[in-house]
Amino acid sequence: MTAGLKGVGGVGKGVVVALLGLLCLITLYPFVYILMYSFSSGSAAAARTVTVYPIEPTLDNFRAVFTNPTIMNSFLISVSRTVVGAASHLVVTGLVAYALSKRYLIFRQVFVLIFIVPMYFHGGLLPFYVVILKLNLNNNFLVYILPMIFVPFNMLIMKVFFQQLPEELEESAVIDGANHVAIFVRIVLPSSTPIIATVLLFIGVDQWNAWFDALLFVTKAHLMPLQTLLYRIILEYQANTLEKIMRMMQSDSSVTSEAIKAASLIVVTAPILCSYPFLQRYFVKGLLIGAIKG
Amino acid sequence: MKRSLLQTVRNQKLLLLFLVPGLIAVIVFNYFPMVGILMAFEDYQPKLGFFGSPLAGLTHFETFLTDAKFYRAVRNTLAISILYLLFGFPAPIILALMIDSVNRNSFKRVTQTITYLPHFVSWVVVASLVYRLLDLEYGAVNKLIELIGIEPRPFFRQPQSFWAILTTTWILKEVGWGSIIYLAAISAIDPEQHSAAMIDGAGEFRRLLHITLPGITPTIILMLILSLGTLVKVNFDAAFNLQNALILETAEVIDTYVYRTGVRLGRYSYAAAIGFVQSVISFALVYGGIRLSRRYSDYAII
Repeated sequence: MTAGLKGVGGVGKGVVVALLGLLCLITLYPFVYILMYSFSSGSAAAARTVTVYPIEPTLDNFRAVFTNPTIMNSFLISVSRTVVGAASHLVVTGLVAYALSKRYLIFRQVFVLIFIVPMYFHGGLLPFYVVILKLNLNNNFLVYILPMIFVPFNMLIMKVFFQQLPEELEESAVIDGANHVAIFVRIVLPSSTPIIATVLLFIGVDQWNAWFDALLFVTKAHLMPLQTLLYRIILEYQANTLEKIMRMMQSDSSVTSEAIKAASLIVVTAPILCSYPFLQRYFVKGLLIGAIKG
Repeated sequence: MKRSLLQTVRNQKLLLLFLVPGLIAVIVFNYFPMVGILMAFEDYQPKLGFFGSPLAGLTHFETFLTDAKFYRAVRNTLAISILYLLFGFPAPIILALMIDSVNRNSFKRVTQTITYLPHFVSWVVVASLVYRLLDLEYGAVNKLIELIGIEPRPFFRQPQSFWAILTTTWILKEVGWGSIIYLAAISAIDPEQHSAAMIDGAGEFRRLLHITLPGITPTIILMLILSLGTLVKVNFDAAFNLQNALILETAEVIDTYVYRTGVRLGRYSYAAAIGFVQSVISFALVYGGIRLSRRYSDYAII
């Protein structure tokens, strides 16, 4: 079948598989490490090094995390902003995508331009910072929702998808006298599950992972999303916040601050790890549509 | 003519209404800040606003152009960007080629799922993991180094390691995601070409060189041109989360410098001026790239 280089090909294939395997290991190891650490008794893990299995396995760290008011409050904030943010984003961006997908829309090219330009040029961090402050959006939950309510890239991939839907679908509804709202809700949306799944994943992940907006605009502890809380206690070394958390622990000496951090990292990463594999086939397509057509 | 325009607007009232929420959002969060570029040319004071603050002309531009810290940030930004271009650009291509050459579909899918993973994890988490892995006493990397007999290094306390740490972590994080488009390009190549080549007796490697690579070259050129536009930026999340006070000498990049001077130190106009210049250069690079791509490639992107 393949002439000549078959022997070399076999070795070559082996090398490729080995390298790919190595990449997978390197990618997975940090997560495995922190997972094992989170299931290890804190004091024991501090004494010996965790490799690929938990040391003195325990659920204490997770128990501590889930009973800690500060962490749980932040968890709820993150969940809220993800749900509200993703839903509102889908509506606002989806409506724009639908309208722009109609070739007969008046001034269509102009509108497309207006929505696309921000992808390539923006004023920079400071003007954005000032605008948000002027709008009094600081220390307001809406600062998590509104700036992300429209994303040009997501609009583009939805628009392209809507444009590729067969026209007959709409025509029968139009004949029946349906207006655009009815068409959008009853016909277009149900036929667009792949792209909706893709956009929901993209915005869901962006909302869940968002941390910088809270750092910039929020000082109230009860509005702090989980990622920003983790930034403060792990990377910014904010001793006060961490102390507050540790003080709320029972005098359970085996739960160390490192173990809390590990368990928190798992809690903040797990939702994403559990969702994205299921949406893989959708977002691959979605990304390609956007990259090629947009 | 005018009558029919108004009539069309009337007919499409509902459709146009669909645009309104998104329109308000872009105007408020994207176009208002563009007006805010004025800040760079004023001595901006929060109480006076964009239009009330006294004009300062090019003062702030002169200030940063003579600021050593600014040039340090530029040097770091360019160094990291070039490193990332050198190693991070070919990586997804090589990964895509490797994944494509594997025969077993289950292995392919598993590898892809695993390599996509870091892209979906936040930089806060990734940076936390990296700090732990490179820890002097407890980090896996130093433990490995010790096994080979080399002294463990305090990676996050020495400035010289930062560029390598950032680049490597960034590449590992995005290589899987970046390979998606190349995998698509590879599978878009006409299988007839491969069949014909196989009949002529070409082995796997030959086919790779003469069919696959030329087949994905347009995509490669496209992506290369697009990534040129990001030369003056470094992923803010990455740099910011991996930085610490001890290594700012090599870790401060333009974007974090703007944050530090503007938001933390309150030098609004100064930071706005830098941000403005950066946006302009970035836009010029991207726009130039798009024009270039139109001329040399079959794909017209915009």
